Amino acid sequence: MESKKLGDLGEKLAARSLALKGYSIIARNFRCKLGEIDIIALDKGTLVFVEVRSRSDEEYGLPYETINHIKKRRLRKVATAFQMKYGLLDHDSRFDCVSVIFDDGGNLKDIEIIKDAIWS
Amino acid sequence: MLAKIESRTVLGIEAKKVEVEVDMSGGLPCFTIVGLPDAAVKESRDRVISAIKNCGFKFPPKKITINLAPADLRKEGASFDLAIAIGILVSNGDLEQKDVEGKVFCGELSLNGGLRPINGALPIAIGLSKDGTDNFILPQENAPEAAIVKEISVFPAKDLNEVVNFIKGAAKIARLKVDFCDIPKPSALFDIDFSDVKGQWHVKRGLEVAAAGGHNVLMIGPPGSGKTMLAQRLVTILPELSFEEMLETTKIHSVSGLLDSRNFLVSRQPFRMPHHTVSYAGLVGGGKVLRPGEISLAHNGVLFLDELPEFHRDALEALRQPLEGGVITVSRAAYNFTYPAKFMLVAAMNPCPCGYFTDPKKECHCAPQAIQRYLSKISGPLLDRIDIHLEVPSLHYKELSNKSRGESSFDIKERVNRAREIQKERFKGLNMFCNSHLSSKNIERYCCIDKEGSELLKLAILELGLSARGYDKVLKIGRTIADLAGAQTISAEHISEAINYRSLDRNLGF
Repeated sequence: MESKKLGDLGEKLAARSLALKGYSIIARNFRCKLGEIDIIALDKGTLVFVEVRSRSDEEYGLPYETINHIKKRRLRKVATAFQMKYGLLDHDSRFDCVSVIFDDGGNLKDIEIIKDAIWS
Repeated sequence: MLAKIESRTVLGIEAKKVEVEVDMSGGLPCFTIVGLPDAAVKESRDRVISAIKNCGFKFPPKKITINLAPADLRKEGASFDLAIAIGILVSNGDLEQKDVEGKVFCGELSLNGGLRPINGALPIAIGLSKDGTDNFILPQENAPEAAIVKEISVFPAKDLNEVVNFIKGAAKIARLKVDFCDIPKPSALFDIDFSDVKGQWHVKRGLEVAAAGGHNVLMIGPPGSGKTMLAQRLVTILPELSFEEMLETTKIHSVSGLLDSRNFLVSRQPFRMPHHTVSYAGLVGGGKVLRPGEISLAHNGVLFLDELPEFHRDALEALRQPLEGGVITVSRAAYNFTYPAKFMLVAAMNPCPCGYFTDPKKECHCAPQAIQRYLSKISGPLLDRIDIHLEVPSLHYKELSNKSRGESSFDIKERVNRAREIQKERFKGLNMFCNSHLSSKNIERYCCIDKEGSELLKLAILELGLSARGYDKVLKIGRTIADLAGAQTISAEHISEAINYRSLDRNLGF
């Protein structure tokens, strides 16, 4: 499967899985000139910025291991931009990561939500 | 919510109050520590996060700012971990601010929430008793040394959970009390004794005089003659420390992290024997992170410098001022601290580079210039501060095989104690307590010498080339010998013994 398609599918599955867990999705693919956040949701009043990482089984390593410090820094910047835009700077917030793993045939193999994934 | 927790840090050997303020607010989660933290304090972030999680609490994903006030004081070490963790729990609503008022927290956290020992618990406890703060919560390994201070309540804890339950009132921690009857008598602590040394009567007597008058000693002799062995046994005949002296020394050892839960009080004279490669900062104190040096660790005890000429020159010269003043002030751009350093200097050296110059049996191969160079490594001003010079000859077979044991340390100590009592009485109200502190002005006043004695001294100056400095020293040593004998005035016999202890002045063999 193409990686773009794989990613889109992963995000869709991640959004569904978050909704099932009780998150209410506010925005998908929030973009500004600093970058993009895959999903923004509310979980019991906390603003959650979600980074979705999809991987097909052939690849080596776990999906969330691919978030490095540069990506983290960018995510913080975009998240701040979002908060500023809507006046939410003081709102309780956190970053979650959803890792989506497909098997060789493109079927969903595993999906995992990691809460509070990014700290600084 | 804002939380305020009290903690302490140690500056030099004094405690300094540090307030840990924790503010928690909404926003992107982050954790910052401000207030001039060093690397160990900054890293406490990761220890605290793990410890809180592993103790079963939720770590809040919030914007956390920690301020260590006063902000201009540089914070070092990991001892703020506990206060920071408690602050976060208060701020998060797990604990009440009113429950932590009036309590002081110090301790390093391990990742599982256990408390690890800190340095300087005793100075902190002493500081608390002065401040009037009562409750001190600290790691259990440090608790005994802090409990020496009876005025405060010391609560030893083994992990974060225990502290939390104690604050909530859910569990009790027994206040630790140290029973001083449990501390073994210093004399029982020594496994060495003067009777172990065979022969060397002259040197033993010299060390007795040194111990009685607090004189510094230099021992000169060929290798293997027993200089080190004798020096190590000197502490067994020194008068016992008073409780105040024990506290002073323990404070320094506490700051240096040399204590543990079993040896929490330095109850006997410390004996420090730094290697001759010691740097001057290692000897007198200093360094990037300030530490007391060997001379401060030897406070109220003995500093033994084996192979004196092998020491770095700058290290030896740094000894001059503390030998005189009993304190060392370390001044650097970033700090300025004074450590006590009242110690008895015992040095040992060989008479020449090969070591056998004074040995009757082995031949010395050193050129006269080499010997001169070797001896000149010890500067005049330093030598000036050493009252007693002892020649330690190598032993004959007859002395070695002799089965009879010499006098025990206990007997010698009795005489030393008596001599010290006399001196204490004599110097009452003055800022000194033993003969080695006599200044040249006071020598005239206190060192009364009889007619025969002064005749002998005159002869010594004329015949042996005794210098003016040597004259004062002989009188001082003579005073101590007279005290040991219980005599009021110094007589010829005391003087002749004293002259014997000035071998470097007499230029005998050198």
